Amino acid sequence: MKYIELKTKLLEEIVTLRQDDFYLLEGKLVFKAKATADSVKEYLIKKGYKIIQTPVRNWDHWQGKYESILYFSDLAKEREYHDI
Amino acid sequence: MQTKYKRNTDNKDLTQNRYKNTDHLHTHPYDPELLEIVRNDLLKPRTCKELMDWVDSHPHYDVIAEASSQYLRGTHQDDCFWQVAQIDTDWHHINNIITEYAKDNKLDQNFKTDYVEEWRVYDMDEQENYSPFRHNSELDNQHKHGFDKHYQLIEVTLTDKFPEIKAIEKVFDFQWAKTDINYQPTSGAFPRHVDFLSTLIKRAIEHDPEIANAQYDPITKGPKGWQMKRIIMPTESWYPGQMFSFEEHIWSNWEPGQAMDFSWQHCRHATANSGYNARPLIKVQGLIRDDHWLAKKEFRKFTI
Repeated sequence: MKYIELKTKLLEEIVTLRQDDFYLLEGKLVFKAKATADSVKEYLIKKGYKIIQTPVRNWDHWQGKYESILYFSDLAKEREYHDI
Repeated sequence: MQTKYKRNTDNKDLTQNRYKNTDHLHTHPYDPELLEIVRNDLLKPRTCKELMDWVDSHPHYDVIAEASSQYLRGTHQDDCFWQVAQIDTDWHHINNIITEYAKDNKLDQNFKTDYVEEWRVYDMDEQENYSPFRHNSELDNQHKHGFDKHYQLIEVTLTDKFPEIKAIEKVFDFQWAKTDINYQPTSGAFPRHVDFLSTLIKRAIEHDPEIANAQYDPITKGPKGWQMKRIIMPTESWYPGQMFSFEEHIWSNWEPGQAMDFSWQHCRHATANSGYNARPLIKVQGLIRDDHWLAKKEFRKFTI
């Protein structure tokens, strides 16, 4: 699964989610608000995914501030994916 | 006579001044918002020719490769790198000729990667006009972080040398095939990066209007209707200390003749040689159509 597929699906399924609520950084989803990350994490866990959540190191050279990171711990092989 | 390819930097866009002043380079980890903007821009419809023009003139060139990755952490190792073929041949002989070439050209002694004195060793005049394969601002960024010894790239396809390796190239039946030896002396380290295969696609665009005018697929990162492949295979057994990573996955304990495909489009990969032996690796790249055995993920054995 690629980021664009994941983001498109999440935006379709979680009505309160907005395009600029989270971005991709080095394979991880970086969220502006922890509450948003919490809701996406809850959705993905319900779909059977193992999700790791961590705080964010905000760097001085970044334009924005971020509160939470989510990433998958073990996605199945491509051919075994189930719908998100 | 051995010469070295010198990049022509005069025709590059210097408006952002990243070539002269590394203060203007973007800093890792790149701004997530900027990455998203560039990533979304990359998804807009373009022909291959338009895409490469977009890349070459982009004010944030140094973040494009990073932004082009759609990789999600946690992706299964088998979707990052996988063996596609086993090639049985006289690897001892091949390794010897590479070692001799390295000695003759002092690849280990004169090991430094920069773009003023290009490290691509070549023997034929036609390489003089060959497209540079790495943008200077990307090299600037790598140098800024102390990575100034990556690997030595030894030309195969465009030389009269290494007929044994050219025979290996042929089994893949690539269009626009291009083969190099990626020879990493001890102490070499190439920082994690995502490939663009810009040398391959630029060469195809330059010579083939069908590819130049084909739509660019930003997910496969090649012309629609084609797949761009980069196959790597070691010519010598793995030595302790030699490292090859694909995102969070590690390839190790390799043997000569293992032909590996990998998700060059999305997986950040890196190499380092912390062993006491040089690490030679053959790199074969080219374009295929969807009915090619590699596109169908068939495993093949070859004896040469």
